[in-house]
Amino acid sequence: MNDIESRMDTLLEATGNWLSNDNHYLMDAIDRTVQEGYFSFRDVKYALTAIKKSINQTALEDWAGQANLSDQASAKEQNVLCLHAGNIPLVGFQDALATLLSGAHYTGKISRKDPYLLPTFLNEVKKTALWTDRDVQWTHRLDDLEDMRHDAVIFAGSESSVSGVKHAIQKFNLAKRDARYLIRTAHFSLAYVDRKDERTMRDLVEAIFRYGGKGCRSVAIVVAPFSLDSIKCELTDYIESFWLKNPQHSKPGPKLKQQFAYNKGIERCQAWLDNFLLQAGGLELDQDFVCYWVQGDESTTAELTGRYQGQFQSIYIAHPDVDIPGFEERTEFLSDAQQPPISWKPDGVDTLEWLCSSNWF
Amino acid sequence: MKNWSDLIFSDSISFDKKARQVFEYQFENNPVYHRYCEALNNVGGNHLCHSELVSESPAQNSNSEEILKRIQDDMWSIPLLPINAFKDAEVTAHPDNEHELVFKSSGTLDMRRSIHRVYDSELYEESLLKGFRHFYNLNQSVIWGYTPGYAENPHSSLIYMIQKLIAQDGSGLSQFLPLDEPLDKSAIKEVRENGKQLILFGAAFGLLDLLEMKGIALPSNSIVIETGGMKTHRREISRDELHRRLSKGFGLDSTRIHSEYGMAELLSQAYATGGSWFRTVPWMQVSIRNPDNPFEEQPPHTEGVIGIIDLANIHSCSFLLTGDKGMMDKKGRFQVIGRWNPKDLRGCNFLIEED
Repeated sequence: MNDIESRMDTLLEATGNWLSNDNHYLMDAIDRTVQEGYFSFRDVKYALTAIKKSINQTALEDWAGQANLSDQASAKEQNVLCLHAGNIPLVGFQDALATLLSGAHYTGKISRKDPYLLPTFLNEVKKTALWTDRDVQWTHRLDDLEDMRHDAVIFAGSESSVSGVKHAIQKFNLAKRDARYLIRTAHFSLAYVDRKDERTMRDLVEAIFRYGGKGCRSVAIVVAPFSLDSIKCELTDYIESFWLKNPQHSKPGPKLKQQFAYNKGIERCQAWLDNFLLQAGGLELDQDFVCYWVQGDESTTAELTGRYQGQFQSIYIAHPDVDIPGFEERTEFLSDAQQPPISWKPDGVDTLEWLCSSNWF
Repeated sequence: MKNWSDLIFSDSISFDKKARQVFEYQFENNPVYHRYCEALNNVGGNHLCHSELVSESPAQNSNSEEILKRIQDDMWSIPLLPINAFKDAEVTAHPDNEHELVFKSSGTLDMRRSIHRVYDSELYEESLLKGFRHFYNLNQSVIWGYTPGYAENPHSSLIYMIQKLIAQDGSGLSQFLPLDEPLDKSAIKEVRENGKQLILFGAAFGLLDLLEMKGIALPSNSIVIETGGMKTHRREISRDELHRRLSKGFGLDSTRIHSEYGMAELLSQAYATGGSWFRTVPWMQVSIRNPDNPFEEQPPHTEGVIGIIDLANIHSCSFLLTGDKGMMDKKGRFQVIGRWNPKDLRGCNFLIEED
């Protein structure tokens, strides 16, 4: 068995143990996460189920193949620092897994907004013979890692936060002079919905409202050939049905009410959903809990995608027949919005491939 | 029609009292602002897809009375309308009347521009002249505008203002300067010989370009007023750096480099007369709002979104929430820090502030 196969098998085993029903460490972490108000039980369960569905032998082999991972092209002996976000449960899982699969030593800065879940996975990894305390380390405070100089740093942030994060990395001496950075700035996704059938509507609602719309894979802009006005009553029935099973955990601040009032003032079509707002046009993308509806076709979608280059994460389509001209490579199915394959490419970059690329120095 | 000028510029009526009267007028007459205030007061009363029925509900009258009463009790609860409304709708208290002037915000071809329909141009003229005189001795000044002229930019409120200031000077020395030409030494000498104070207006990079053509020392009592524009699609500069370069380039003490804060949506201006703190004219007030809760004011020296009450906007909307980031001190002066950009908040952000 070569190194890669060994890492893959061990990670599959660790993931299996981590997600097993009798892992009381994970159960405790879920309890604390919910009790302390970080996320709802439904959202945590959903995130764990999505991970469980996405990881198996074939999926990892496919990913390794897609990333050209080999014993010659790996990140073995490299030190990789992952600065994990905490906007949705376990959002950093893929980065941690990619780092481990690449053969690199993993250092994680765990988000204080999701402090318990990811460490339970990392503990399972450390229980295996392949990874030791030295290979897998994490903390909740960046300054704990002072003077640990890494070869690569991965993080997701807004364009305006990048300089602040780099400054902190420099301040605590966390990166070598020639360290590589994988910085992601996409923060919302877009869906082109050309049909109104029940499956599509349910997928759309899941894509918009899961995790309170806070993921970068969450749909913030819907393009559809039909207007919001023509579908909002039908759509709100699906939304109510979704929220009955998945009550929204995080609640918007007073600014959302102001947006509602503003829309009324300028007579913009909208649907007020108490904790969320759907509005026709006015793509300011300046606050959470707002989803924008744009009446248009595939070319409208392409135009918007071009306009928000660098900010949008994924473009979803409801059916394989749909083509978004110029963005064929970036489209995904709407049904996968919140359940991506493990090999999905944040900001269009395969993390594993990036880690294993030979261009280290 | 009521003589609003007497109220707005009155020295004997308190700002609060004026603001309440202006609010009542605009709430009654400005349909955009009326709907906005009504909806703010009745958000919880809407249900899902039936939200559009709200403004037709029988509760409307009592809602209006409630709003008016609340404002009488607490002037600071007057809602501020997001300034984008000037892009998205016709913000006017005279929707059925002709307007004398139309001001538009600057912007590139693909940008939506704010449109401010000015019902009463005399009131704007009075505001800009009284406002300027509040800070400067206009009668003793020669005004130079290093900006395009009014003929080429009839929709610029700034250029309209400079033109009106120029027109006040009977000496004939005030003028729009030709663009792409360095300052004329003999013209400067003439201003000096007339015993007047030179006040040069220009946008940030316009003034820097002027200096680049030929650095020239202005008389030591001159004032350079930059009108903003520190960030364009090609260039960006901080206000401190801009002022440092203007001070050096024009050979003036740094206290002689001033700033003007105005916009197409406002009919009054604020000035920073040496340093970075702006002061308003008496009929204008600024507050710094919590970006997450625009109904709440920020404490002094805390950043937030700049809110403005400009009573000279009587015929459009006086109560506005800008898109600018600012900060206030305990004396009521304010700084403009830049544009408020919350676009990056959504999504998978690692926020260093966590640490």
